Amino acid sequence: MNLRAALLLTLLGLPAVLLLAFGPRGAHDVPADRVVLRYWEKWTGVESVPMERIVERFNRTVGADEGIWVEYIAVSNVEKRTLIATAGGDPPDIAGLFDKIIPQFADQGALLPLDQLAVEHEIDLAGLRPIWLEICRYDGRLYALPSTPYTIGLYYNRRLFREAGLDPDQPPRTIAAFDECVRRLTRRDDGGAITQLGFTTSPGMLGWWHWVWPMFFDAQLWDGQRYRLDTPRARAAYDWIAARRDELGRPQLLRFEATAGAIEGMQNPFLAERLAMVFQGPWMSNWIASYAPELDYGVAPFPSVTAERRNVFASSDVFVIPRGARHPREALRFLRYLMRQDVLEELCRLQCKVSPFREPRPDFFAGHPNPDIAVFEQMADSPHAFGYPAMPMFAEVNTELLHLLENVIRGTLPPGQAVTASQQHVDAIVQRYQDMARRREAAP
Amino acid sequence: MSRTRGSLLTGLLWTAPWWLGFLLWLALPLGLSLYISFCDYPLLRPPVFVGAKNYTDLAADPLFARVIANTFLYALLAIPLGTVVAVLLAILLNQPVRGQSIYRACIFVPTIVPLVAVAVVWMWLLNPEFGLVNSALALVGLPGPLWLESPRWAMLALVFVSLWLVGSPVVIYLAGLQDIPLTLYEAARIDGASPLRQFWHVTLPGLSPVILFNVIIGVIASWQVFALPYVMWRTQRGPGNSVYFYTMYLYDNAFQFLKMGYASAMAWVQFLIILALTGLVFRLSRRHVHYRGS
Amino acid sequence: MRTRTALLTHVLLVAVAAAFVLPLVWMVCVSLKPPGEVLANPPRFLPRQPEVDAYREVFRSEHFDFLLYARNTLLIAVLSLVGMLLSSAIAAYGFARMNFPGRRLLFGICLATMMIPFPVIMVPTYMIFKELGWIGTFLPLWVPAWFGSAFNIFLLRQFFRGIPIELEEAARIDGCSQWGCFWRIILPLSKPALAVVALFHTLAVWNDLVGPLIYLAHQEQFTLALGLQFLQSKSGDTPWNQLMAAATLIVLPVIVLFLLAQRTFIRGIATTGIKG
Repeated sequence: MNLRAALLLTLLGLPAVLLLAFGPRGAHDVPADRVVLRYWEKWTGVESVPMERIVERFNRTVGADEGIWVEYIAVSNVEKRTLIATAGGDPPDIAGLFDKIIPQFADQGALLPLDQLAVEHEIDLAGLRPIWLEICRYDGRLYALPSTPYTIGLYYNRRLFREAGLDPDQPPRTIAAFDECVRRLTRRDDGGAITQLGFTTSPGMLGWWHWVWPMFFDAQLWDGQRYRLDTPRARAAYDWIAARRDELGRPQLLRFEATAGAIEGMQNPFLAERLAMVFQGPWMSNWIASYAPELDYGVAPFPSVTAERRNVFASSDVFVIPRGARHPREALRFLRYLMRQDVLEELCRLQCKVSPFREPRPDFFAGHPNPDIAVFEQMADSPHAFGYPAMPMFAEVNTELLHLLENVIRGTLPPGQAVTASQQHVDAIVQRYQDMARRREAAP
Repeated sequence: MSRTRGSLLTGLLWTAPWWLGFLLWLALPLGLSLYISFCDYPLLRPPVFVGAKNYTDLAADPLFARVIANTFLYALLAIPLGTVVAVLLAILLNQPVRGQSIYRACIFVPTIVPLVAVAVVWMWLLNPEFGLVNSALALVGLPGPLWLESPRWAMLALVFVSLWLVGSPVVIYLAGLQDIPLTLYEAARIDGASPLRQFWHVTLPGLSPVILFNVIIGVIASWQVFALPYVMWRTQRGPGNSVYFYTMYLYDNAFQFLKMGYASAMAWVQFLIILALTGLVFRLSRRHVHYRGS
Repeated sequence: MRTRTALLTHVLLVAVAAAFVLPLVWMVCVSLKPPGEVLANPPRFLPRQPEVDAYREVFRSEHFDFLLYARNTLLIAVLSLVGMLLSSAIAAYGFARMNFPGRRLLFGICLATMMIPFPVIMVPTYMIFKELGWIGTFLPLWVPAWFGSAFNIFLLRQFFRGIPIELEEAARIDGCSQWGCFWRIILPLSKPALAVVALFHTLAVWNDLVGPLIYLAHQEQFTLALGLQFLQSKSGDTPWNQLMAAATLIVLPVIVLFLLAQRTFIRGIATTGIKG
């Protein structure tokens, strides 16, 4: 045996054998006398801790009484995994998904409708704020229950506001006032390059909600038949984005956006005080607390085109019971436990989200990691809070909307033309889906 | 014909591991996918037969045309560049110098780095402001592009990353180089051939079958590019769909838009395209590939 | 002249190697930074004060159990590797030496299967494994390997065809069976080629994400690649230093393997005769 082989054996072979022989083994024990409930959830790592704790408590108390054992299974890519498992006839009993997926799954009959079942199992829904139930409905029926809801607000840097001669206690309420803030909060170096930016809608910096901007111009996007981009209000939003780009300079903006880092990425430009305002959810206070505790910031609702109508984007993580789940009854018992105000609010608080209840208990605010959580709560109260469009083909439409935003941001097309072109593509997507639904109806 | 056993039975017996596996794990899914390509199939409901509709829809789908164009462009950039770089690297790594195994490891190791890490590392390298690539360009007085955020450069950025991941072909080329008989070089030297001529008349012909092999693997791989753009671009398709590739669109159709019928039609078209391209490469290569002993 | 060329080669090699390794150095640097510094904008290359907390986390945290995931990955790799080598070699021998009717067609189909895009057969495949009751076990991840893979069969067939057939003929005259020829002559002669197949297969298992994602049900079963995905947060608060630490640890054994065995691998590939 030569030296290399000997080294190879000692450095790799031996550890491998030792690891196989004595390495840790995944222990997996469930009590024999209980019904095992498989609960798939997207939260992993530190994020999963609050829910794991709740599951553990349920298993110890209510679960023990009712003979139910909930198994918390963290699943990455949970929508896809749930989709494949449901298609394969082997779904979990409960899945924690995102609200935007409800119409798509519900329209394919993949989710158990919960209206009747909730009543039968005495799950109290009356205490929930209506917007959160509305988000869980599709076509008039309830297909999910809210787990950790959130509204998205405007985080603004108070220090930069003061520096720009703006009153940090008067965040902008209208788009016009907002534009003025953006103008004054944007700074350049001698060469004209942007060193500090007021705000951006660039999907490269914030990849999540690129479809949302027309809503702040009071647009009605989905009317049940058509996704309408070509209304004056929706057009106004894209004209607004294009006008801001023209005003601040497209090449300079693109360069800044390509360099300053993404908001959910490794280099967060808001924390680095290079971006003065961002559109984000309540959890961002966690990042600020960990990485930029000195940051002087405030939170306000995102401005709308008028001061009177307060448009608020509301969204939620949700619980669903997939069709074909083996233990729907037990799943509902567990849901009933989860929907108790003390339990659910504990989860929402630890996840740094808002409470889904009309009247959150005082300790919800007291112990909440986000000091501005009340602002997010109030936003959810707005009569003009809106969620994702309740359309089953939204995933595909959304990709076209991303394309539209990019066209407007880069100026590939004038905003008017870009909207018209995207309207045609969106219509075709919707049309194809409706044709497919019709063929499905006609099929034996 | 006494040299080989002629019986069908023994032949089938020996090749049984493969064809049993094929029948067990592949034949059924493949047959199903062919059938499904003629159906509406939203995964969560049973398929509904629609004839050739998915195929005719594909022909009229502008995004489908776009991903085909992107995929071809990527293949046209990445395969030739990758081949040149890999062959040159292999020649360099084949020089008899000390510590060669360390150099070889340096080139090979990037191929095994988890993709998430690859993506993060390259997002940093290609940052237009403080990334090392643009800093290096600035040193020689060139203005650096925006790379990932530029519709024009995003594709090239991806090609760069693919060059960094060139380790496996390099290893195969290294093997090919070691297989070229030294006598051929000696003969060339006696004839007074310069190193360049030796490369041209000995190395390249000797390496040509390996190049063919790698090009074919490259063609197949380029039509299956998928994970890297997904993790490198926040929009998962790059600015203006510039790095949106065939398999990515197929995957989106299947698991995001729940159009499995459409995705299956795409898969069969893809299969035919790869088959045709491979055939084309073989045909084109016939005159340039030199098999020893023939 | 000689020394000058050698020097030039060295300089070139160092430059090229440095260019290839630099991104990896950065990866390691991130793994040695505290979380706050990772997020610094603009980022610094070297950590101010290197610390190994991220590595400690990766070994000890209840959300990422490096040793457990490594053991799972290894288990799958070993179980599948044995079958992969054996079955690919047997089938390759059949394609290389048997001259039965339909061989060309069968081999053509075998090669064509390399070109199948995986997403479309994913759901039917899942259903098959579900019918077998294998979901949530390691079985779907290693049993199919016992039926060979087209790429490896192709590689080995090329190699076997390069072995002079006279060896086998002599053995057969001495009364050796076909299986005996394969087992006692072909396999021992094919060690380098088998090493290559083993390397490529192990790397594929090491990096496979889709299989474990779809078929495994519990966190105790996770492989390294899948566990790594779990370090990425859903709400943007990913512990990058831990992610990079885990990535570094995943890469490390392969570096050692390659450093020590590259000569064998390259010789192995050289003799597989990809030349057709």
